[in-house]
Amino acid sequence: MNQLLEQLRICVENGKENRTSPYPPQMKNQDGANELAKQALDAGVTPGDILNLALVPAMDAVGQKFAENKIFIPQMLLSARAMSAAMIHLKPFFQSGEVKRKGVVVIGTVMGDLHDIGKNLCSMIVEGAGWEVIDLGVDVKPEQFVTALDTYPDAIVGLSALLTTTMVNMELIINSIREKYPQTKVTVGGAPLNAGFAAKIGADNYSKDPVELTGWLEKIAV
Amino acid sequence: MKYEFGNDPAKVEGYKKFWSRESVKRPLIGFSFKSWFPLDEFKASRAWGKDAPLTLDMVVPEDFLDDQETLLREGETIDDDIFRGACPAQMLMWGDAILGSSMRVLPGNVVAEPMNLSWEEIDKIGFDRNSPWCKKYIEFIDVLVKSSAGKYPITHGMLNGPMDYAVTFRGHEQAVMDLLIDPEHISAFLERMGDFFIDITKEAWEHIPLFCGGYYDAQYNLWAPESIARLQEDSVAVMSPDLYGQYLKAVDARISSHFGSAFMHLHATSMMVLDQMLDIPTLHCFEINNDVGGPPVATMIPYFQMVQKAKKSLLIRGSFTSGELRLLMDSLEPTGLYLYIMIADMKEIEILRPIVGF
Repeated sequence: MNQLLEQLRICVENGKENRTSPYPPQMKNQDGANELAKQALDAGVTPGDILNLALVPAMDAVGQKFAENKIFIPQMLLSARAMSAAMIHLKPFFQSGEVKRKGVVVIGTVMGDLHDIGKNLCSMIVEGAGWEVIDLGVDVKPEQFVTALDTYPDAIVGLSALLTTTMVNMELIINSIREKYPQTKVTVGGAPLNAGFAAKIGADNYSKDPVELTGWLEKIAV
Repeated sequence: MKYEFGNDPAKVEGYKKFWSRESVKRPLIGFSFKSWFPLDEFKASRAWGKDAPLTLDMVVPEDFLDDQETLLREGETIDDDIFRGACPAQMLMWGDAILGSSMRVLPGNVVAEPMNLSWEEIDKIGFDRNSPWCKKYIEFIDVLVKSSAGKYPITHGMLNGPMDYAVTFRGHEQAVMDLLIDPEHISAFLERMGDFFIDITKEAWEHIPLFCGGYYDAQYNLWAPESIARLQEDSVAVMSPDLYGQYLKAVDARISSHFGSAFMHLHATSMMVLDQMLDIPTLHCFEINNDVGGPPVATMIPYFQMVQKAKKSLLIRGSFTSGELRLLMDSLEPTGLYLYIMIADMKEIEILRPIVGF
């Protein structure tokens, strides 16, 4: 594999965002994902290869380590930010259509909840997996999801909640969505949730982490 | 003799055994109709505009009293082991408000708005007894104390933990990043928030009379022989065990060392640091929620057993099916165990009561 891609993969896996970022300490003063992605493009590596041979494998490794409790949310967040730094250079190719998006995911933290870390992680990682992400932010009302679907009727919807007091709002949102868009796939996630709860409220999927979410998206994108 | 609110002083003995982990035949049992949504349980807070800021003038302690007493009357119809008592507006994050965060009423919830402050701004944050929210907090306690007239116990209000304050004032993502890239700043802030937690808790206790010679926590209907601090660190869910050990464990240990009956409130999402918390000698009790939508009870049993193995008292709060309750009873020692069972109606109590040997 191209050496730049390998370096980029290592940077993303270890959460090295750019040359000035202090983390991880052992990679201090080295180029990060931001610089390496640009160098790779300048060297003629295709955006598709950057995505599929560096970013996606890096995040797969991160997801694996997360599932095994070898890393936790802070490290995953750093990796996601590193990936986003690389994605900045790839975005023009997605926008021009040179690299095809796999689909659109509309994502938001449900009404009543201002926690954004899980939602941000998912946004970054899903985008890095080749999807267009429409991030509606936090405290998102049912009608805001429906309005987003008016613009992106084929989108998949992702709902996030961190509070036990707000996860119940997911059901209200799913019902509102299904009233107008009965075929829309809805996935849910968040620390207090589980698959049983997701099934009970009519969600199509529950993912315990963002990497598991991208795995599910891959399956339904086929 | 029938006691108002069911607060028979003889119940103290059960609590004492719970705290001292004295050998018992069955756990301490409490049943309650109280829901996960205190905002909706009071006419006064139901009237607050949704999706709107919560301002000081909207919180009128006297407006809560009637509903408060109605809620406590459940103790007169439910036969169980626990006292019923009150705290200042449980739906309100008093600590965040006192420290200067804006409060916002959302459906089912009042939240502290994340503020994304710089370190320079953060340096100005601290405990100010003259802050309007602190005065309101103490006023609320005083009103409850007067209204209860010793018939039910009073406790401090809802206080978040030091890391929760970091999340409020620095923002969710930034607070996590700080732990990795700016540990000095965040570490100093966590220490200061530890001081705040100690000071505000002590301040509240100075206004609250003892009840049956002890202290009380209304959120869990928990009486204790010595002063209570109800610690919580919900934001631990976004940390890692290493980061907790490096930056927060010592703060939690310091807070709990100031109170004789300190306990930690936890969700399933914090179990990755349970072993480290169990190491803190001044944390004598752990409350773990069986959250709606959370992991199945069977998944939580090993964690409950860890608490008991560490010789700490264990309080489990939540709704349970008959099967779940049986599993708890079969898997856990009754000694030092308090099951706070949330129920929908009296019929449910009668179904569950035989399972817990009451």
